[in-house]
Order: sequence, then C-alpha cells, then structure tokens
Amino acid sequence: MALLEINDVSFVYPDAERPALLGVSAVVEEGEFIVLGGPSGSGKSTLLRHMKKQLLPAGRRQGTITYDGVALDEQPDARMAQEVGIVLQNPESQIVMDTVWHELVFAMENIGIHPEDMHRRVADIVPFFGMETWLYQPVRQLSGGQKQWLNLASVMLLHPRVLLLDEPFAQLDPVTVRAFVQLLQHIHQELGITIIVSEHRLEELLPCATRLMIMDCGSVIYDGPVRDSICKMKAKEDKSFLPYLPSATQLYLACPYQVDDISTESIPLTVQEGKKWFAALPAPALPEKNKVPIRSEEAGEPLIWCENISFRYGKDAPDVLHRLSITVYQGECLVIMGGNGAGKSTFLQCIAGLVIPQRGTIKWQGQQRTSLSMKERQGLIGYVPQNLFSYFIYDTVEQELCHAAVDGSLVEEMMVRFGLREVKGMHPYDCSGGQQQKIALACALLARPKLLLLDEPTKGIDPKAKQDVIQIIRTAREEGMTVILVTHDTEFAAQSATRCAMLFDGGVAAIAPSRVFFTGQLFYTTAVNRIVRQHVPDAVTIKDIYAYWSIK
Amino acid sequence: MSRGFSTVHPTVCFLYYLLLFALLMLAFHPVILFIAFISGVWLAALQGQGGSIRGTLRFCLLPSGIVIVVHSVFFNVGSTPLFAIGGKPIMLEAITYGITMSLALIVLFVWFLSYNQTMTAERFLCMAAPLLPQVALVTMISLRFVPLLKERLHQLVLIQKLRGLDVYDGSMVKRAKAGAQLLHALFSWSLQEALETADSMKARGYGVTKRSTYISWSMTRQDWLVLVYMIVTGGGGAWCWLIGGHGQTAYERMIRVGWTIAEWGSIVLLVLFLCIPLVIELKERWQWHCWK
Repeated sequence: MALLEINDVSFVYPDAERPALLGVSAVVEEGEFIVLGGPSGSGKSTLLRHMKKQLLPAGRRQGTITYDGVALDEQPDARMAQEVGIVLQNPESQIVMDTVWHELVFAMENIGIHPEDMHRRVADIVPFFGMETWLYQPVRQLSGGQKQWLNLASVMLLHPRVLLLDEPFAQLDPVTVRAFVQLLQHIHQELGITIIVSEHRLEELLPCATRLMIMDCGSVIYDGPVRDSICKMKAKEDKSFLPYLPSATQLYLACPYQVDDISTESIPLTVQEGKKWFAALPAPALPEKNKVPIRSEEAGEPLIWCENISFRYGKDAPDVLHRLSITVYQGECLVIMGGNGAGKSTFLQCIAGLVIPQRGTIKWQGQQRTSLSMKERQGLIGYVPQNLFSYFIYDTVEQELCHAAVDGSLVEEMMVRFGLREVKGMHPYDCSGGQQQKIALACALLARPKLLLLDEPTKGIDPKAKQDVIQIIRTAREEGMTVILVTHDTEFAAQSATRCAMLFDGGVAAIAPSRVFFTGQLFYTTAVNRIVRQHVPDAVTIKDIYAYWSIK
Repeated sequence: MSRGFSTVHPTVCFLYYLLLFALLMLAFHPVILFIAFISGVWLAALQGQGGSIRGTLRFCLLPSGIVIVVHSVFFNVGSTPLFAIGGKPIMLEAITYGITMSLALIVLFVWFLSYNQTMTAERFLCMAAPLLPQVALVTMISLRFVPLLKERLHQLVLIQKLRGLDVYDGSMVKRAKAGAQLLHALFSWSLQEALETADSMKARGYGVTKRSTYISWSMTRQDWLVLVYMIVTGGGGAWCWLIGGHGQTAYERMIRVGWTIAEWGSIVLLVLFLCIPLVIELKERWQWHCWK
C-alpha cells in the first residue's frame, strides 16, 4: 500500500482566478526521495501543503488525499503532526523559542511526549545532527544555515515517516546547501525516511533523488525516476525546463552531437558524470583548446576609490573589513564573492554610506570628496538589500514604485518593461520571490541612480526570473549605470559580471576580469567550467558551450 | 552550564532572593546593609561578574550622592547639629539616614547582579511553567520576539535612509511622518513572519494535546538542606530583630547607641543567612582545588 496517495486533486485559492492545482495525481511510496521542480507559482508549495494535514490551505478543493490508506482529514491530528514533518523556506520565521535546546524540544512538548522519552530522543538526534556545541546558544546568534538545521532537527525529533521541505535552501549559501543536501541523503538512506523536496536549483539535490516531478501551472508535467523524466524531456524535445536541471544534464540535453546508443543510465547528473560524458563525445563536439573568444570589456573612468577601509561592528569585535582597497570603474559590473562572513554585505553598506568605516577613505569621482551627504547619496546610489522586507514600505506595488520614482510618468513604462502590470494592486509581500526582486530593482532604477548596489539579487528566485534580472542589469549598464553586486551564485555571476572580486579575511584576495577569475579557481567557479575545463578551459557558462556548438 | 548557587533548585533560589530583599527592607540598618553589601559583592565576584560590579557601582555613584545631599539638606530632624548652610542646621542623624538609604540602593543593585546570574529568564520560566503554562509559553515566545523586533526596526531605519525616509533628518513633521511609515512597515513585516511562525507551530502539533515539559526539576538533598537552613536563619533573624527593637522605628534605632541581646542574635543569624550562596560557591571551589 502506498504511503500517500493524491487522487485527481484540484484546488483554487479564495479570490483566485485560476486553480493552483489542476487534476494532480501522485502516489508516494515509502522510502522515496522526490524532487519537485518547476517555476514559482506552479503549485509546488500548494501541493506540499496538501500532504500536511495541519497546513491544508483554505479554498475550493476536489479529489481525495489518503495517508496510509485512510483519508488525510480523518487521520488523528497528533499522529499527522508527528508522522509528516515539514520545513519551510524562511529559516528565521519558523523558530518559536529563544534558545536552541528549547526550540528542539518545542515540538515534542506539544505532542505531550514523556520527559524521559524526550531526553532519549534529544540524546539520539543531537549527535546525528552534530549540534552538541551550540545546543545552549540563543537562537539569534546562529547563522541562517544553522537555523534551518535546527528547524529540521526539531521536526526529526518527532520521528516522522515523511519529510516535506518547501524550498529549504532558498535562503542559504552554496556551502551550507551542500552540507544540507548530504544531511538529507543521510536521513533518506540511513533512517529510511521518505523525503519530498521542492526546489528551483537542482544542481546538488538531483543526484541524491530517486524521483523527479516537474510542475507547471498547477499540473504535474513530468513524473518518474529521475533519469526517466529527463529522457521524456529529451524525447519531447522540451527545452522549457532545461534551466532547472544540473549543468551537466543541460549540456547533455542540448548537445547536437549525441552518441546514438546512449542508455538512460548514462544521463549525466553530477560534475563527475558530466566530465566523463563530455570527454567521450565525438571529435567535432570537442573544440581545440582556447577556441572560445574572450570578450574584452573596456574599463571606464574610475568612479570610486576605496583606500584601506577597515570596519568593525563593536569596540571589541573583530574587523569585518580589514585594510580593504579596491577601485570601481564607471560602467562596469563588479561582482563581489566570498564565503559567509567575509564582509561582502558590509562592504556594500560602506559604499552606500549606511555604515561608516572606522579607518580608510572612500573617494568619489569628480568631486574628490570623501564624504557625501545622505541627500547626495539618495540621488547617486540605488541599493537593494538582501532581505526585501526591509525595503518595501507601502501597501501596493504601484505606491512603492511611485514613491521611488524621480519622474512619475516613467512608472507605467517601467511596470510594462518588468512585467509588473498584473501585480500593481498587490501587496509586495504577496508577490513571488522573483517579482519582489523585480519590484525592488524597478524602484532602484526609477530613482535614476549612477550606481546600483545589489545584495544577493538571485536569492530564492527561479531560473526564469534570474534571466530577467540578468537582462535588467545588462540594460541598466547600457544606460550608463555602474553595478556592484554581491552573490554566492557563480552561474549568475559569470553571466552578469565584467570583473569579479573575492573577499577573504576582510580584504580583497583576488580581483580579475570575470572569465580569468573563474578559470583560475577550483571551487568558486561554475559547474560548467568544472565539467569542460580539461577541453575548453575558457568556457564558463552554458552559453559559451552553446556558442561553440553554434546553437542558440 | 550551571555552577555553584545556580545548581540549587530554581524555586529555592527564588525564595532565597525573595526572603533576602524582604529582610533588607525590614532591617533597614547601616550595619546590616554594610554586611549585605560586602557579601553581595563577594558573591557577584565569585560568580564571575567582576566587570559588572564596577559598572554597577559607578552607575550608583550619582544617584546615591543625590540621595545623601537631598536628605541632609531637606530633613533636619535630629539632635546633633554639625554645621549650618544658609542658616539651616545640618544634622548628623539626617546624614546617617541619607547614607543608609543610598547604601540600601547600592546593596539592591549588587544583589540583583547575582540574582540575574542565578535566576536566568530560562530558569525562572522553568519554575513558572508548571504553575502557569500558558503565561510561561507566551513569555518565552516574547523573549525571542522582542530582540527580533528591535533588529527589524534597525534594518528598516538603515535601509530606508537611502530611500528618503530618515527619522533623524528634516523638519519635525517630516520626521514624524517617516517614523509612522517605518512603524507601519515594521508591523507588516512582523505580521507576515508571524503568519509563518504560526504555520510552523501548527505543523509541529501545537494545540493537539496537553503540553509536557522537557525539564523537570526535582529537589535534591542539598536543595532541602538549603531550604530548611535559610528558613531557620532568615526567619529567626527577622524574628529576633523585631523583638529586639522595643517598638522603635527604623530611624530611632539607627541613631541609638548600643544593641540588645536579641539584636546581636539577629545580626549573627543574618550573617549566616547571607553566607548560604557564598558557602555553596566556595565549597565547589574548594572541592575543585582539592581534586587538582
């Protein structure tokens, strides 16, 4: 008997025009690891919430959902709270208690588990998650990754049979994502728990999964074992979901020089498999070394000089930035990369003038001045922070844009350009992650700044929205704007940057034109570069390879 | 983790501090307050609060100075004039009373240092949870919520400066408007996250059944011992102090020369009472020293 059976379920949210789910059927067997892919708004979250009794959304619903042979709404609450666990997107807002250990036991206390049993479970799970050292810390001292780790551990303490995760990595950096994926793999393989994850970026996740489901517009488009689903895509020549797949798989699906007798098993998912597949391609697919032309970008006049800036948050705190020197040129797109706590966001805030470095100077072009008034900065700089909740202050998208605009007549045009017309009456919080990013970018651009500062603009948005952001940045630069952006996303950086800098230990460890930067690194480079570097060392993005194969 | 006096059952600790503050109020006398001051500083130092003691004393300096001066100048009750300011005699008794009052203030602050160290919010709530489960839960949730709210407001103020909403710049009307707008945004933001928190609570079975508690304190032999000892010394001390006073007011007692036997007994008992946490802390240190 299947663990979860979803039978022809359709669902419409109140006041919504089109259904969020449309005739979805799926059978989940015990022990599966299902990855749920697809664009934002395709119904992934709604489907996951239909598997969790406590979070069933309100609205019109048709069809049946059964758990362990019994209809979901007839199952007892306490059993469903324990056996189906869910972890949501935002690590911060899911935490209720003040200290780590208290948050851990919160779920068990709710169920009324006996103290003795609780102690045993904590002793059992905490070492599995490696949380011993921070068990007694207050929650506010944890990093975003640790918070999500804690959320998962708290759910695991209820001994669930099914684990649902709704875009759990959207707010995390790639190093943490890797650790998290490994943890999920352990939970799946060693504890035998059924896992269903929805996610936009499948680079790390897909190789661990047993089944791939792709959704679009409320329906399941592809469903089956991972490689079978990909095969179906290839058979249908469907390229619309390509950007959701790992780089190796994307290259495989787009490659015009396929070896004919390729079996389903040999579809590459990881970098390793991709390398093997690429090396075995027939001769015309492999370029001679260094055939990809290097586009050289001309550097403009210097715009900002940062000289030996040092910054710390408290008297006894360590330096976040330590004697950092960098020059930013007019019209370039400078990408700042680096690990967690390397000072990337602080650096952006220093440039924006939101925090003042204790030592060193930041000089601006032409004025030769080290300090600008807030008024001057407002006209000069557009700054979009990482957490957009601190950026939006009005109740509708339109008000938000009108407040930002220097020239009110441009608002309408901007909404059309960014595809924000249909959401103009909505609250910014109710828009999807991609739309929120576009609204914030539109606000920043409507102020007609000279310098655009973006902090993690691709966090938690789907590949389509990411392409839109890349296009927006490109257009802004064509209009003469200088862009500095902070990101963890190497694919995104490679597509938008002219120069990349790596921050480490408070200073600039490396700075080079984008292509030179990525080809010199082992870890901070794109998956494509890692796959093809033996044959085409200069190729960084999928487009580079496409260009070589002369396909669009 | 917990050490020394913090290993004692939270209810016993809480009762100890309650009794202590009641005794200090009752026995409003410079000698007793002075002993309490010495033991309070010693305890705070043993609990690793050396830096905080200095800060607290510096903080108390100005208020206690004001108390002494105001009391000496404006209350000229007493029989021993020392000197006169502007024709007004300054009495020795008034100065003594002022000093006692400021000493009481300082003693309160010093003992609160060790109270905070021993009765952390967490321990207090663990104690309160079986009595008032709902109140304890709400308090624990707000313990997390308040710093979160502060952090969000800080973020909003910082980010919105660049978008033209500045509460520190411009005319009063403009600043007030900006402030209102920021609070509105803070409210929306917090409400949005609170909805997700509610989902996460519901998903983890909040409200499906009666809650249990993870931490259950049980009274150890040491806890009972401390409880009995503190009731005997504290209660006895208070009783002796009351019968030894011949119905005089605190003010009359302060300036009286010579003590009754009951009062001497009371002092001894109170010293023993004040020593309880010190003995527990020192015992632990001594054991550690011998073990090495």
